Amino acid sequence: MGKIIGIDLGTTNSAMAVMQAGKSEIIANSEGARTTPSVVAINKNKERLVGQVARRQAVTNGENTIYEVKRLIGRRFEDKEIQKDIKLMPYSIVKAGEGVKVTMAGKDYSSEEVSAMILSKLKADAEAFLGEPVTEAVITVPAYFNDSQRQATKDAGKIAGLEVKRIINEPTAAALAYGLDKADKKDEKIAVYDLGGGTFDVSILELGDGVFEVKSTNGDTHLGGADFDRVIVNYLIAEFKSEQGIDLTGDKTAMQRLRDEAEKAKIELSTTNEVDINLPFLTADANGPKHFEHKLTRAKLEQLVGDLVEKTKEPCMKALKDAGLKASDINAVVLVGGMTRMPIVQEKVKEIFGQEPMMGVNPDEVVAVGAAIQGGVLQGDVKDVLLLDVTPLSLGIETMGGVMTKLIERNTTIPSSKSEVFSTAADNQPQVEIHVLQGEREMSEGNKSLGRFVLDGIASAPRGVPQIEVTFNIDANGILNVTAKDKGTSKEQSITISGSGNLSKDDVEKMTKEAEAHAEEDKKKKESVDARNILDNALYQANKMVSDNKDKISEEDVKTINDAVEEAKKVSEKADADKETLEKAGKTLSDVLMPIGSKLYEAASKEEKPTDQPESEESKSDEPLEGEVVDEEKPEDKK
Amino acid sequence: MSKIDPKKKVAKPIVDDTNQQLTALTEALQRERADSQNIRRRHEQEMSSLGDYVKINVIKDLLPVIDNFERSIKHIPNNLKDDEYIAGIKSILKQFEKVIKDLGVEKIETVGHPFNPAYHEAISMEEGDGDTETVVEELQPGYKINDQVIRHSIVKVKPGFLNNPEDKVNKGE
Repeated sequence: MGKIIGIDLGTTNSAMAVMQAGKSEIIANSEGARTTPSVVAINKNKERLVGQVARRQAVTNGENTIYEVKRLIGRRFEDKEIQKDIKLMPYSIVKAGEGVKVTMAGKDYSSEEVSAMILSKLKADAEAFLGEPVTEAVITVPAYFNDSQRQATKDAGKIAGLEVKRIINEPTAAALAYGLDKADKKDEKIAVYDLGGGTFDVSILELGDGVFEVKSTNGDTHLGGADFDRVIVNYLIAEFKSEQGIDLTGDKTAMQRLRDEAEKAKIELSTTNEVDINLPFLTADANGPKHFEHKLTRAKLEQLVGDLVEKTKEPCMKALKDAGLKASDINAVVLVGGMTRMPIVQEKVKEIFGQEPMMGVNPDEVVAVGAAIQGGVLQGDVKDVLLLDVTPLSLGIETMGGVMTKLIERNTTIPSSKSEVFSTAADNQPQVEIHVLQGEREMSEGNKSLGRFVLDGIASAPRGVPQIEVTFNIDANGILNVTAKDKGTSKEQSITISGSGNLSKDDVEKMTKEAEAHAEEDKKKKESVDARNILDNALYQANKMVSDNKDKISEEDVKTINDAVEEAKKVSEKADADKETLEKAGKTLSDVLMPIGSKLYEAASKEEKPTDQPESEESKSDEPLEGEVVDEEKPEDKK
Repeated sequence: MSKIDPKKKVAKPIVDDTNQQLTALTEALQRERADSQNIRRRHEQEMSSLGDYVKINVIKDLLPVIDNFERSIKHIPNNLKDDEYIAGIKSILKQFEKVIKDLGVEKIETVGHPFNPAYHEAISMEEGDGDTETVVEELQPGYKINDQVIRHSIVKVKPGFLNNPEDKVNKGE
């Protein structure tokens, strides 16, 4: 089963990533680079060149080298962007049906086909990297892409032999890479500031119920890193001219060195305050060689690019306005694109949105990483599983009347262990069923059943006498072990449940909400079950009293008891009897029993013959269900 | 405190559920296995090429120094051409070149050879006729190690095949 890779099919550069063992990883191309230029060429030998190699031959083969094809994809020939590009691009753009084609080596190719050539290289490189075939991908597109542009991107994938499992928005992918889809807050508003090689995009997203909605987008299709580099190079040319009186613009070698040095200085100045530009023998005139030594400070650099950075502000303000939001409404700001590494850009973002932008994921790779995460989710690699350091929901067992008795409360830190002693509900009950439940509802039927097992071989005994110790033990991995042990016979049974933590956030939320919504209803139900249990217990005690003490109770008393029992039974048998009725019936019955019980007790103590009834030892409790209390252990938390 | 319901005495079959879980977990395990095998394989590859990788990065940083050394030799003033001091400097450059050659680094061939974007980066094109493209000038030398490019040569290209490059090509002194 192949991997679903994530592809950031960019205007100037593309990148790809994959989920490996639960972590996203950038896939380096066959040349070992983490990004691949989105450039395609066909040379004179009819060889197809893609990426860095196509870029290196571009000046020799300008009319057959296609770059920035993303500006064309899915567009109509009449679009004003296309008309503009026809003038700008060195390659020819021709009308083909509704859309456009580009010409390479005398043949027309649709923009889908050209994009497919880029995707084919990425696919092949990913296969070499992963050592297995790659047939499925998630591809990102700008948020402002229309249906036709999205469909064209999908078609490009198909031509390249990739099944495009999903097309997702670039800003959404960036937000995914930062895990913002798991944000706790509802209706989280996210701003994505993407200053790339050639384009600037800002998007305002709103996250609701795990779905990202693009509220607005804005930007500048011709503002990017290339403009920054140009400003720096122009400054250096001017400096050299003022020092040496020589114009370098016609000297290709010198210009190349200057460009490389400017790029290096720009990168270094993101982390240092000053760099020495040192270009010995940069050029020469009749007087001999000329060197260029210059100190460039961050302050100077920021002064140079200040206007360009300022140009990103207006699109941001417009995007906010279109989304109907103020900067203070934004909960998170995500940076995309290599240029956002510059401190001055980060400062501007902070100024615009009034908060520190999120950093940490490489801004050149963040979109591809997000696409890979989406791929992982589609594949099932990335399950939206809560980290189980606490139990997300309560754990317990089903007890008499269908009530869930909780042993481990929700949000208990794990590992944890807890025991409680239960007993039988009927005389001579030979077995008990342990039904393990998870959830917040009072009644077991509203909760999730995790499993059940039977402990049998319980020695014949009146109800309430056998002691069944039930132990819940949940380890650090969220694996729950439930053991039931008959203290009388030492017989035990257990079950291990590994799925107790494997709940998605949605499940937990749903179950918690349901519990809240049904809280009142469940409470009533539980109270009536409790009342019924009390009543049933009183009935049991009454019958037992009569049968155990046949010769000690007067016939009159037996009749009183039997009459009261008959009355109480009628109530108990009514399935819809409410708590009050049941309680009243229970009280009436115990009011009848108590004086008779006292009489028996007095008589017994006069005879100095202790009663062997277990109940009476505990009759100091004022509750009628005293006989059921067998034991209670304190919870022990293993941390 | 509670009693266990006697009405429910029989365990319901939970086999279906377990089988499903088993399938899911087996799949997840297979995926993890494949992932870890992949990671191990790549780790081995990376470890074996680590030596080259480190070398390449160090050499790449040193190359501008060699470039400038070479440039300085090209710019020796006429009155110093036969100076012994300059001869010494030239020897240092030779020594430098020998060191990187011993490390397995080769200079990429340029002038007179067909233009190949796998090794060459063209930054200008001269007028000319012909189907092939030939490198006519090297603006900055390129280097490779075990056929892996450390830095591409920056070159000027001209269409047409040059039989005897030495005759026709301006070597860009």
